[in-house]
Amino acid sequence: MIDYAAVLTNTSGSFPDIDAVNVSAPGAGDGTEFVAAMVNDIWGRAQAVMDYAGLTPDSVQEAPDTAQFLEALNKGWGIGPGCGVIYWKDGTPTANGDRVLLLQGQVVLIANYPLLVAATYIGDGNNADTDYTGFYKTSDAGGTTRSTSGTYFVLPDTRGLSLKNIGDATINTRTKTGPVKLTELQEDQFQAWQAGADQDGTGARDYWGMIQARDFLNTNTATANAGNVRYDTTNQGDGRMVKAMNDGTNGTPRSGTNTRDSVIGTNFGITY
Amino acid sequence: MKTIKLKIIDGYRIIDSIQSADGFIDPEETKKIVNVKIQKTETFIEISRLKTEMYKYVVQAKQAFISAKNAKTESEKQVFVNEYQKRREDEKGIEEKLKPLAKILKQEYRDLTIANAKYTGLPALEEYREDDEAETIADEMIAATQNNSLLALNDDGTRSEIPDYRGKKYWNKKSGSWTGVEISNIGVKPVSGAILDADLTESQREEIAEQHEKERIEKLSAKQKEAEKDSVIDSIAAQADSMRGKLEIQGDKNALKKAQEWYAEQLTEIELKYA
Repeated sequence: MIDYAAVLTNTSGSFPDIDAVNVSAPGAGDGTEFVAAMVNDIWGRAQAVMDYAGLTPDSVQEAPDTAQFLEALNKGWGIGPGCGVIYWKDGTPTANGDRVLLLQGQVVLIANYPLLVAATYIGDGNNADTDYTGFYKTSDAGGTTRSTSGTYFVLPDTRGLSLKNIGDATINTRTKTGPVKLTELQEDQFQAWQAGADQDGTGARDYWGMIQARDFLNTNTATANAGNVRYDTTNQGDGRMVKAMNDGTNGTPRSGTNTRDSVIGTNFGITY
Repeated sequence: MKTIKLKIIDGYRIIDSIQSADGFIDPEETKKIVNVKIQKTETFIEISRLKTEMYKYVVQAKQAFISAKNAKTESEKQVFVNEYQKRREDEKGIEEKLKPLAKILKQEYRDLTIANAKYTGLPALEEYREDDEAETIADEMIAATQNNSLLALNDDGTRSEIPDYRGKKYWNKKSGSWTGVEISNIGVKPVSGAILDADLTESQREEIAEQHEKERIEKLSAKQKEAEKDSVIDSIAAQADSMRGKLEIQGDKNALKKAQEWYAEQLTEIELKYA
């Protein structure tokens, strides 16, 4: 950009507060000049943004809803309606005046958010697919009756969830199966396992897992047959609960209702 | 404003959690209201008045400029130049008055937004509640938990506690027979007098074990009972033999007699058990 103080003779202040000045009287010549450099600077700025976004002028005068400059800003920097936002601001987007909706499963009127709907709608072909938990149309304000001609739009509900890219990953030849569809939900789960007994031959943890019982009876009738042990319930054994416990290195496992990673709470939003 | 989240358990609509409704404010619906109300505030009215005054100075400055340009004499021109410069200063003065008002208006817009918030539709099984009612519900949820219950939302909008003893096993003795029941549904309370499994005494556990063993044997066919009895007798014979051997090694001259007596006692019990 031009340095206004270097290119123009009549200005006031210094960067970043350089101001244009009005002429003091007719013919005084002390007002800020209207010269090609000023216009070129403005034109250059707009053209640079357009070019960066891969756009060319459509010869239609810039106006609300059709301004190519706005389109170029959105496209060039991947912003604008339908982009995800991690919203840390105090207060709600509405109160803060931000064009952001937090993703909490809201049902909104399509007429109020045309740009968002245009950017994110899953399409008529997918609208009935319940694997898509958001960005679909409904005919009711409750968001339950899916309809491609509906006037309501349902946003996904990200409360309590982490985000994951759709598709699969492969790590050490093992497949990590991700969601298939945008807004598809995957519930928490634990890697499949089975309980087994093993001897841990290290120091103080050197013991066998075993079952102890009193009064068990052997019904073996021939040495060739395996003994069948029947547990006599007349007298109680000394049972201990089988449970996840301290492995001697990583401490006692922390438990709760759900399997989860360490997380920090935030708000996921979307621009409209 | 808050929301209550519900989940369906055994046909009951259980209030699961209370959440902030701030994220459900509908910006565009709210703006429709606020954009009207903001225009009635003193700040907005004052800003409008100042803008009108500013425009008046801009017009006067322009007229003075043209007049100065067309003046026939230098002194006449100077009058209009002075007028032009004064109006430009007046315009700048208005701008300085507008700057703080703009900040105030922004805050008022924010306050009006919060005060007049319109809310979006909610996901299924979620309902709006005003803050004070939500607080009451929160207290009721705590009380319900202390009463081994969940808080349910009834169809008529009232709330009630539903007993929650799921996963707990209770024993009840009636006519000398123990019955154990594990509660798997909400809304089910243990019968009066029932004992929680964890609270059974040692002797009660033995009674239950004996009853179960008796029931098990009663279900055996005659053939199965006979085979099992023979197996048990065989086993105690082996134990008696082992006992005799041990006693003999320890120098007991009555080893055989003792072993036989023990065997006889066990045999009597077994006969009774499999009778």
